[in-house]
Amino acid sequence: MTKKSRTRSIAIWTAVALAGAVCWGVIALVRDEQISAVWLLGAAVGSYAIAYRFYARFIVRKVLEIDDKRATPAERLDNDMDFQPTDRRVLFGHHFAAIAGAGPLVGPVLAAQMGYLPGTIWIVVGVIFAGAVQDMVILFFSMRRDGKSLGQMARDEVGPVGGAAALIAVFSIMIILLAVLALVVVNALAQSPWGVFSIAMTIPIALFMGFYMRVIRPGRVLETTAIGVGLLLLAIVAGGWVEDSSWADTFTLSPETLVICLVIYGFLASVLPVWALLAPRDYLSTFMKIGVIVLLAIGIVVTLPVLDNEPVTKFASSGEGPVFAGALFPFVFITIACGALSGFHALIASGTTPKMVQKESQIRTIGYGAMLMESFVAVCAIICASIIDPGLYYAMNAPAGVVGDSVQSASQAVGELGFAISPSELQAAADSVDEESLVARTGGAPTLAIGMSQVFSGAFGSSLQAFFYHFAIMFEALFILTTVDAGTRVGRFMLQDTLGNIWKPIGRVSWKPGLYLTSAIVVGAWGYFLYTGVTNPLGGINQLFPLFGIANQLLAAVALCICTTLLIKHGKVKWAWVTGIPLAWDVVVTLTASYQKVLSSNPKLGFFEQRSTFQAAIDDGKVLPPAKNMDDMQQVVTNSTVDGVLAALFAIMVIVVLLDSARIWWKVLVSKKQVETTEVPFVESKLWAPSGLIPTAEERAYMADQHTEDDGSVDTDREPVGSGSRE
Amino acid sequence: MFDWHRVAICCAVAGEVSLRRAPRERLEDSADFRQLSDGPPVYAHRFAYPHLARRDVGIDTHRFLGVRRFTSNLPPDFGLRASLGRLPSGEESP
Repeated sequence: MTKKSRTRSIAIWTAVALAGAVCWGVIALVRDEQISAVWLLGAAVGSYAIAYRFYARFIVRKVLEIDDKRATPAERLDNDMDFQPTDRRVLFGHHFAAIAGAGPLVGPVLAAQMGYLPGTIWIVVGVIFAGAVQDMVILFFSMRRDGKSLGQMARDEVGPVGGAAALIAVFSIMIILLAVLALVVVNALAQSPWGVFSIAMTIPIALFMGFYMRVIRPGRVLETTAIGVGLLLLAIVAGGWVEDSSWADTFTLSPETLVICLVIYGFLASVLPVWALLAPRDYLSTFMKIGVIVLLAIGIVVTLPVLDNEPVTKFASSGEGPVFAGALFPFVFITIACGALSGFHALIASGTTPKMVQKESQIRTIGYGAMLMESFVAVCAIICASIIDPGLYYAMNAPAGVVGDSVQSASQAVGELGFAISPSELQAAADSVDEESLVARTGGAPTLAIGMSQVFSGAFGSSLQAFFYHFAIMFEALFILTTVDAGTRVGRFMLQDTLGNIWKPIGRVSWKPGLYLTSAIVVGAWGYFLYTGVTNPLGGINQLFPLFGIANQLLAAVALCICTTLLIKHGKVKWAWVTGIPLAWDVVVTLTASYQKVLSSNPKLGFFEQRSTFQAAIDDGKVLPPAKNMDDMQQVVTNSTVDGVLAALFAIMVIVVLLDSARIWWKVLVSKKQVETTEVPFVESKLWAPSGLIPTAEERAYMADQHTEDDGSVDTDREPVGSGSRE
Repeated sequence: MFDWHRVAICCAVAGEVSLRRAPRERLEDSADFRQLSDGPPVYAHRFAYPHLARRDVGIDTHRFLGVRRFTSNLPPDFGLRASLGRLPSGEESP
């Protein structure tokens, strides 16, 4: 780098750092008045830029010692028979599009109960030091092992006990995840004929697309997608007509009915061939995802909404919030998983992406950069939840047991929480999106949809607020339905494999009865939790979301254990803190949350204390609110017992994985024993490609000199370039 | 051709493969697809490709009720299993 370009670089990065610092300064110092959302965006983007430029670069160069002289599996096995190096821009887009699902949108909305500040800080700091590091390091180690999955690495590098714990964890998490996400859909669609109609229409639309693309016009993906998107928008508009028609009653479904519909849907979708439903819905949801995220980011920048939420609410310290019980620590950190630190990324991102990376240095862009983008989506979500009136937020997100089922009872309950919203304001909010009521619409999706519709209507016209609300609901529901389908498929093959050890025919993957049976068991399992969530007098989201958060962070603990173990095995003990500190934080958070959910003496928080309290009341013949009768009381006792056992199981698995990893650390550090790793041997690279999305000046000069293409074309006639990124 | 369908499990990348017909010239012109071998014109999406490589895949192209069906002998949930590293015994990725 010349002196001139070095000076320019210092000036630019100093300016970026100052801009980010100013934004954080405004957020920190402005008190007793509302601030614009743009300060949150500025603080986040400034922090991401600095982290990407300096911290991620430090990790790839010093800690991982990436080596561009080393051929990646994609290059090494690229002999027209094996893997395939893929343009980094395509791979980045693929990676980001796949990780930015419904997860980063729901958690931040619920965490807004604590105020916008704790959630935003965790999203930004968490992603920089934990989430993006985990994604990138797992991607790196998987790439060095020919694309091995997280489960395989856990088995090979930590041991069979850790591997088995990871397997049990994944299956349990899948069940809880599906139940919680399905609950989000149920809460968004209950008593909403518009929503039910438009979501229901996506199924025949997807089936039609599948048939059209397979039989009528084979291979016309763009044409089919265009038709599908047109029909999708028509379905949203038609939902409004249905609501005002005599069909409204037919599509007004209770939560219990929706549970039955979702369970039947989940089973059928998972046994249908991929082309029938899953494939066309992928085309639809990809369009919706990219469209919504881009619109949301543009909308926020254009409208610069003001945050109505408080920076830190009283619920952060009291732990008595109506959305979910528990104080800021540890519950903000498990409520917001995707967007800050998500074990799911490591679980599956180690499967496909590492087999396609062109150069080792590109893991910074793909692994770290894509996760920063996802974090940005999470910041947009917390902004959406924070621009709406706090009174409306709590009226929507507190369970029916707290706010009742009318605007009058909700207004009164919200007033008792210390916020104000009149019954007429609540009704006006519902009318503005053509919904009968917004009271107790828990789960985060309706709140996010309200926030998004405010942003969109501010940017594109207020007359379309109802359309935008249902557009946002459809966006979230489409993703969640995809997850229901895919998650059921994953759950069933894990079950097939496990049960196959006991009864061989079940393990035969193509045996249809086995396939149907295991699908039914998985659907039945998440359907059970979904039903208990819907009918739980204490509120399903209130009870189940913390479990989901604990489970997701448990998976992150498994991934970070593997990262730390591999760093130690490779003799990089002095850098083990890079993943060791996030691991320690994650373990503390997960175990504290598990401990509180299992053993807290506060019946609102601890499952077993809740069980004891309600059981004692049953023994005395009393009915405790919000239960309305003895059946409700009995249900609370059963649910609390099951949830408590699950929370305890998750905590035990964290400890098992940690101890199994510590056994390896001890072997290496104290016993000085030789340990084997499964890293593949060095093979020299003949491929050249830029490191980042945009080639640097040096890379452009090199390309011009060598007549190399920007897509990383293979040039076998020249020497490979040096290691490290060329910046 | 073997297409690849992204499926998001919460917020994680995975995929599933499906087999369908497509105009050959489109596949040849597209950077998204790659021929699996020099033999029959069977193509795979670039994200399905790493999981299919080095694998003997049988494709059935029989007609059924006048419509030509394309089915393969890949195990159910092949894409998800491969993404998660949980292919059945003897089916592990290369």
